[in-house]
Amino acid sequence: MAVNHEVGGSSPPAGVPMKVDVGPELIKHVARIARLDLSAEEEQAFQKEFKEIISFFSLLDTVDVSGDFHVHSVPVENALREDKEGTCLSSKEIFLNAKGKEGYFVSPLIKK
Amino acid sequence: MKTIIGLEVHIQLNTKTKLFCSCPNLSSASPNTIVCVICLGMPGSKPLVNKEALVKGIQLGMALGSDINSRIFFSRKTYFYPDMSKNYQITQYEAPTASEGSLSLDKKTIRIRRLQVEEDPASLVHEKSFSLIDYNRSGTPLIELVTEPDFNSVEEVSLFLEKLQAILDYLNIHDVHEGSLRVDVNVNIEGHPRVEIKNVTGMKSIEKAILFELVRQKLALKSGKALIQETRHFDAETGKTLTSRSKETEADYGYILEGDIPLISFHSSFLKTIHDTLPELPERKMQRFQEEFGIDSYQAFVVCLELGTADLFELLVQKFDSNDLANWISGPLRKVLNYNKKTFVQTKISSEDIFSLLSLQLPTRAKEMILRSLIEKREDPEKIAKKLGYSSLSEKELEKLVEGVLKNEKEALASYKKGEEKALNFLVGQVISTTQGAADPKKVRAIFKRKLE
Amino acid sequence: MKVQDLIQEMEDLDTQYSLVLARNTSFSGKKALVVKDNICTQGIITTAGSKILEKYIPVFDATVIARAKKQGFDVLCKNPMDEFGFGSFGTHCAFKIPKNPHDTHRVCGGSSAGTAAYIASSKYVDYGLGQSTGGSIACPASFCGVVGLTPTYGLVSRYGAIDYGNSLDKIGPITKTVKQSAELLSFIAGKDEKDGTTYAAHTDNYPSFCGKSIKGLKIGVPREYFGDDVDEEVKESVRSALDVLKKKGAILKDISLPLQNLVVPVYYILANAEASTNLAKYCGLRYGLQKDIRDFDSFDSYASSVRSSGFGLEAKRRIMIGTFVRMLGYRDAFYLKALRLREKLIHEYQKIFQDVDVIAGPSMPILPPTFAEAEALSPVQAYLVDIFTIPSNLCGFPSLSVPCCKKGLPVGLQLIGNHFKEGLLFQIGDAYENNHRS
Repeated sequence: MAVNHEVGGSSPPAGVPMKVDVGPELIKHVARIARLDLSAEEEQAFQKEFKEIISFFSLLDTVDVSGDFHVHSVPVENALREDKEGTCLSSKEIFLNAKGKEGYFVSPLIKK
Repeated sequence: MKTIIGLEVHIQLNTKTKLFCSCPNLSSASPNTIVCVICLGMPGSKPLVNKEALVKGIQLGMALGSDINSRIFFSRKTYFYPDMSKNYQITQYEAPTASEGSLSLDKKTIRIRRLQVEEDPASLVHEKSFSLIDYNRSGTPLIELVTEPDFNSVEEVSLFLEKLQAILDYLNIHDVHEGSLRVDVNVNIEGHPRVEIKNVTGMKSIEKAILFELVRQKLALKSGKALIQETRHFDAETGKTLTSRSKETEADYGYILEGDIPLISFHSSFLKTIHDTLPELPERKMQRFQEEFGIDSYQAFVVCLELGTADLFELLVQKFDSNDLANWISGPLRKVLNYNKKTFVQTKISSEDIFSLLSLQLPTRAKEMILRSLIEKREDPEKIAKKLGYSSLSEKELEKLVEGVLKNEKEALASYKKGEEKALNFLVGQVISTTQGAADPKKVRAIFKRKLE
Repeated sequence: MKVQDLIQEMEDLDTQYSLVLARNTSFSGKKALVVKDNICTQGIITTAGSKILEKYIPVFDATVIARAKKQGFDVLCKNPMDEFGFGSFGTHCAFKIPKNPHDTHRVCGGSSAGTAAYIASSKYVDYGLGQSTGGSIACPASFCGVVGLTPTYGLVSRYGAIDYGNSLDKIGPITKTVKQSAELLSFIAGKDEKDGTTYAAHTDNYPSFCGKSIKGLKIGVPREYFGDDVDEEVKESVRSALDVLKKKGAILKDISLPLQNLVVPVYYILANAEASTNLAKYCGLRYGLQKDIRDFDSFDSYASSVRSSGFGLEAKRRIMIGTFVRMLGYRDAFYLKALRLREKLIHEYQKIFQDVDVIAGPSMPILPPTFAEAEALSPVQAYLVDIFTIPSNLCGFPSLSVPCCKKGLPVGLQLIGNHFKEGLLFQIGDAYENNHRS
């Protein structure tokens, strides 16, 4: 029974700057993924800001770093819960913040 | 044109509670009644990992001979869809629970690329002008099992799924019900783009979907049309696969580490305990049954499809002829279980009932009718037999039949007297076929031997 | 003090400085607690400062609220904040923009703007709960002249905190004195089974650290915190504060901080990446801003419309950046690399803590700016204002901001400790405060 301890991939080496083509297509693409309808002015403004911000982020290119990573800054581990039933919400609580329809939540139609 | 198929199998686990909250893990309830702030994705709520779900994932990984990751962390897969209570799914990306496993079919081995534990989204009901969302299913623990594209035929896929379901049954990590096992099928003709058919449930639908898709692809190629990489879905009513509207492509999921769930690391002793307490798995049991009880590989395969029927066989095998018992379990019993869409355990019929049933000197057909009745309502098989108007063959009647055969089959009798044991088998067989399988071969053989002394 | 006085004051403070969002209409008259509006309070509207949660009523209390209630507190009101925590000035607020009580032309600091301003201006209320991701407790505490404790990541439960960055968010006390801060922290800190990221380390008796001698404690003073880009008045106030500590027996040591040019980009990559996923849930289903479904022919167009109407510009900006840095093709160079750099930074800082007990310097490099000055900054310039609070927040170290200005606009002295060393921070902070007051 083999056990795998390795985690994570690798980042580009230092001195090789991350090339990012910040054009209107990129802004439109990111906005689409993020489900944001941007006005033309907002798109233009973001394009300009993106250039500045990404260039600022590219300071990371000056350093080489490899190896493992964690998501937390303190060594917290193994927060596991026993498989025991707890309490569910009441109907009043569930629909306190939205109108339902015959016990369901409603969304615009999903077309296949 | 070589067919290439890969599968992504989504298996609902049968833990008591959901993966990230302690709502009961139930397969049916009124809509939006088994939900809480966590599985509804309310702001401020935090996921809490169900240890048992991870254990079951590890068990399956080990049963498939995989490498188990001793350090597990969860990831967020972000995409927008109304069945997503947070518009991200908590899944495993960089560090799946298990990888590099395999499942062997008769003639080849299917490689399992990865096995990960993740949460199920909510369920949707589509009305005419809007969709309805039920979050009861939201947060149900799933194992996603991804195979390499090692399948080359529909038959291989069916066999794989049968064997997989047997393993799930033996490990007791999955309860079979509508929608509890869903498959994304990737199909292509070698050298041509891959088509993904998403969310197919039920063996029949999976087979039909693959067959339709292969025909569609082959026809397209033959008529010179180009195939495109796309996502389709299977329409069970028409038996066709249809193009789906595009969701997100791989590039858009933007995986990050799940910041609400700390790293999980299993001690090697804990993993060893899981490994050492795995039950005897179907492959091993099939092998053992063939060796110990002399049944053939097909009989062993069908008997061992479910732990319930395998245990039944092993319990009763001393009391009946092993071949006959195996035939009955893999024949009539299997047929009735399939028809009722239940496992033997789900029928709640006891092994004592089966023993009584099989001890009745009745034709095979009659026993099957009694069995069907047993599934509906548990009653003493003898009583059912009486109700249905069947009567067992008595010892006297059996004797008469034996005498009759001895009179008619003079040649066989002579052969036997010369020392050919096979002739006795023939004589016994004649009685059995006259009674349409009602007579117990052991009893009949004993009567013959007595008379021929 | 009668409840009526408390309520009247609340009205006045709201009129004067715009410090109140939802009020607890059934306030019991117990010890009043004012709460940043991204901390869930059962039955009381909680908006996280955003239009997209305009009428949202949580059905549960955050753990910190439940624990505070057990200790005799009751929530008085919720305070305005930068939307979801996105801001260092308290100006990206959807409903009302709080004004600094020391000078109403100036910002309160963000994102726990309203809470800090309330504590600064209230006669009756001494206890508030703020929240920090990159400095949102220390900054407004510094700009408003109150005490703000940012605890170690994992010390205080985040159950009920509306997420900005899951690996970065902390809830902490904003109070008038250091002793009150220690008190409130002792009520809310400790492992919570509802939040898996709460670390199981025991909690100290924080108030007991107040009044202890600080003789012999080593205070590291980074030269990077006293550069030319730091306001003169700020440097002067902080240097005086350090002198006070020296006179009380602390030993000041000159130190240098590692990788200072990287902390801000690393932080914003991680914070925005996490934030962009946390904000994905706001799409007009189940809670929050909702529109008429019949006006839309698809879920995508509905969700996009709701989000575009509900999020302010800064939220959109952070969602865009956060989405970008984790996209396939970019996530290795940005997101994963930032994760690795954070690890490295934590190790480097812990080396420093082997030689000193705490690190001290200004909480903010500037005095509280006017609204016009804050408005004029570009996004990157605004990010860089957090240069002193980000390192500790990024690495999960606790920090205490104590007001230390002698005259003029508020200045905060920031003390940073190693993980779970809040006690030391209170010890030193209290020593300064008592000397300063006498």
